[in-house]
Amino acid sequence: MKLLAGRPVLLALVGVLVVARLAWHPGRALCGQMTVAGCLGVAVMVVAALAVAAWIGRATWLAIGAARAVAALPRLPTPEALVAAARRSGVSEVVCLDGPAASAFCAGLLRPRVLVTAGMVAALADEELAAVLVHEAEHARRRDPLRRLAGRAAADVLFWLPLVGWWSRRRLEQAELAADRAAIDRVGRTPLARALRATATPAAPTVGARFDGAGRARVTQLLGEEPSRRRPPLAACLLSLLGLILAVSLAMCVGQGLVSAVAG
Amino acid sequence: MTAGRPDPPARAELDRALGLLGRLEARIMRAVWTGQVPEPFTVRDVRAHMPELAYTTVMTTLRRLADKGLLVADATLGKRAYDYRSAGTPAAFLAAASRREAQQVLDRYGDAALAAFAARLDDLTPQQRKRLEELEGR
Repeated sequence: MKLLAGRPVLLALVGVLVVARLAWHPGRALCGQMTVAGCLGVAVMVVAALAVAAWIGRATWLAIGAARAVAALPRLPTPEALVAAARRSGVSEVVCLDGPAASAFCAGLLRPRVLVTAGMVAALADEELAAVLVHEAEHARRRDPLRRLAGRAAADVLFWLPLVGWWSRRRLEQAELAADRAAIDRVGRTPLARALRATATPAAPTVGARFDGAGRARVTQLLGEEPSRRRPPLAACLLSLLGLILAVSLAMCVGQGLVSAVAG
Repeated sequence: MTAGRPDPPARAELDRALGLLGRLEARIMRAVWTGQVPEPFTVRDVRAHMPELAYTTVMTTLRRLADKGLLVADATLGKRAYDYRSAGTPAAFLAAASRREAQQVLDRYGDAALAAFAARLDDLTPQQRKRLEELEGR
């Protein structure tokens, strides 16, 4: 239930799903029209079709929102220090944003770009800035914004399968580790460690932010150790199984209703 | 800002700043920033320019603008009504809004469509913390 904590809309959806299933009592005549295999097949198709449609809708919604939000951020002419750091680190295109906070990120689904705030340029030394740029450029090369969008939309739509959320966060962590490896190879461990410390986010996460940036795993890798392999939590597995049974069971009723309506 | 029509760049800045506000908030701030309502001003002064608005409506809107940091409310001894004045120019408001916006964008889409560099480091073990400091010191 930790996955649903602080997400009242999803919690309400789960509640609606449970109530809908409990309230649905299909008649004997309706259930008796199909074999178990046929009923199950229709149910799985209904669940899959609904999930894909919802995933496309959610991904589109997030993509439009993120693109608009990033486009609205105020730009500055790229300062010389940033141009020099980009040249040294082999990053072809970097955008400078107005703002005193030290932030850097990669955005753009089809054409990912590295965006750095003026505060970040002012806060970091040349080598540290280069480490940040290489890290973000690796995200751009891997098209991580697109992958994140796909994973997040899947986790949101399939909220009743907590394993998908766990898998999505695991992918985020792996992407951060891969980007850090590129920065270590190109610039070194020390500048990356300094940059990571200089930009560390506060202990209390801001409302809405769900991913903590994989800080512990990144530091473990930075110190030359192998980040621990994570297994999905048992609770997430059990909840996912329950969610799957619930969704397919509900869809079986819906599927039978559809078949019955079509058959006349 | 003086009363009358601002020059084109200032007008564009003013319009962008007002675009971030609600309809009534924008109407009042336009009057304040263009000097149509001289500072300091009270609810009554604003109503003199917008008589169609109810007293309580203007009072609530001014309080909301003060809560957002666009206005400063001064309580004067012996007076029941607050004196309000502008907390800054449209440019200053836009700058503050852009700082908030950048963080909000990262908070909202950081795990959805953006890949941010920063991470939380508060759950490191004491040993990891010490070794990280040693690495930074090299």
